[in-house]
Amino acid sequence: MSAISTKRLQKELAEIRKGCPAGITLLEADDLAVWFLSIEVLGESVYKGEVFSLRFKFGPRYPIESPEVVFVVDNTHQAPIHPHVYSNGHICASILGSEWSPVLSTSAVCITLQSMLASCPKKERPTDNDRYVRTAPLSPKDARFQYHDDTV
Amino acid sequence: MDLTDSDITDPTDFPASLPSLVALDAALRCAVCKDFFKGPVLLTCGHTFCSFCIREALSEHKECPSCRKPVSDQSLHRNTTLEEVVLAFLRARPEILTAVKPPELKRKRARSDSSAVAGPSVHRQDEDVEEASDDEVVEYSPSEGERQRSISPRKSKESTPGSAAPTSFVSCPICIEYMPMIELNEHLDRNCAAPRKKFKADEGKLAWQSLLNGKGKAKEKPRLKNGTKKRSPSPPPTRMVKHNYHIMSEKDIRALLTDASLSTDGSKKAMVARHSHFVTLFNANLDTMRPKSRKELIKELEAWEAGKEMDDRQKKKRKEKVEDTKQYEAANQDQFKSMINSIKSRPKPSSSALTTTSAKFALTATDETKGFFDSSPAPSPPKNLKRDGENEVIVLCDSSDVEAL
Ligand SMILES: [Zn+2]
Ligand SMILES: [Zn+2]
Ligand SMILES: [Zn+2]
Repeated sequence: MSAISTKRLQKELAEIRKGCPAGITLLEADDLAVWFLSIEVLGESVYKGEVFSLRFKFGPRYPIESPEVVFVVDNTHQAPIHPHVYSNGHICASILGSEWSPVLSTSAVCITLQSMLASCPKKERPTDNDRYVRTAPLSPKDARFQYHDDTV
Repeated sequence: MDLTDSDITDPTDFPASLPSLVALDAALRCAVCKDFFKGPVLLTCGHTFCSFCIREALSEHKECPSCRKPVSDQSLHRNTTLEEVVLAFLRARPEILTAVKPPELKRKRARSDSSAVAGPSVHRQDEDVEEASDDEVVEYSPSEGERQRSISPRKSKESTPGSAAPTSFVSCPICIEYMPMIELNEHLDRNCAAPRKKFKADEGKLAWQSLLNGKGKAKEKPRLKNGTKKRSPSPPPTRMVKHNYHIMSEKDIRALLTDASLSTDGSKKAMVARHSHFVTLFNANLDTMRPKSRKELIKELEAWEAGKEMDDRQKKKRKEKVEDTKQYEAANQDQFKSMINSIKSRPKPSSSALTTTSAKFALTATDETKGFFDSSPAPSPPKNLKRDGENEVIVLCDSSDVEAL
């Protein structure tokens, strides 16, 4: 980690520990470079009652470069069924790729993903889910997504 | 660099009951690094960032990080007035913090800190120190006159045996060095160097007074002037430029580095990266009122290069992609199993909110689960690949437009 990314992450962490946005909870940040947060959609939505977990990985160039953000998928965690979320947890959201800006932050990403879920009318996997999951790189940062929805 | 939570300053260091001060502190920070503006430069769109931050950001995208309007390196202009505002605020900040913090709040915090709280909590140095000296009574009053009188009751503290220091300690918001609050003024004047002389007990008080009512201004001004004179006896150095490295020969690049008295070690790629980053450091340095020496810049460059080397090594590792999916799944299956076992072997947390999706994390509040995530499944090495790397996979969210992979 560079001095800048370390300092910036510590500030974000301090802020998050003082109070997360509603529906977002910090679960774990023992390693400053890897955080886990839980996310749920409050109010009426197709995901009512479901809680998901996000994993953020920050590189030494953060916040100039975007963090790697995935939904945790394992025996106890599922990725939300959503047209922009693959079953391996990878997310097709432009703010995590080409539309990233260094003024964005962990909570900004969480809020964006929360509203992406909240506005989903129907639970559906991306149509190319199977093929993507079969060939997907370990990190979604190594995939080149073509974003079909500029709002996320 | 060994950083701890306590080195971090944040707008919420000010009590929430005084939102105007929280907002003031936030307004003087760069949106990229969330730190106080350091060598602020103005963009044509009107937004301002630290010179270094915006130059780094522009190396990725030639647009304003806040409004996405196009920006070029050449269009950056120093915002000297804002830099002076920031430095004035930095001088005043510790004094303001002391002055506005009601003693009830401090005691409350001290109590909640001492009682064991589950989960990590953020400690701030200034709070900790203030809490440590019980004798210190800072009377809180919203009136200006009261506030001035209540600042820095040093007499009582100096006579306190066993207390850590005769005065409050703070971290320099620029270099994060930990020092008596009263030394911060001179430390800032001396470009984050150690103070020459012992501080005078009421210097900080005067500085704060000067902010409140203009008194003590005479003292403040010559100090600033002296500092400026000392630092710039010669005309300002010219900026360095980044070159079209890709059309240059290795020999040309070596010559560039030699001109700049930089090392010519390593591959062409390493040399280009070295020169390019040094140009960023050099130009950003010119945008500050307190520029660092060339020696310091080269030290920073070397630290950056060491970090980059480590990052590159990790990148390489990650390029060893998952060749055999089945093998990978099998390997992860083992991890799943050990994870499940580790969950089963742990006492169940009392949390009623233990749903399937939060089971893993509900456990994390207890100490015994430390290191739990070391064995989390589907590990992927740190992200770091370039957007246009060879190993990219093209993915479409909508397969109606799918092209051949
Ligand atoms: Zn900055
Ligand atoms: Zn702008
Ligand atoms: Zn300093």
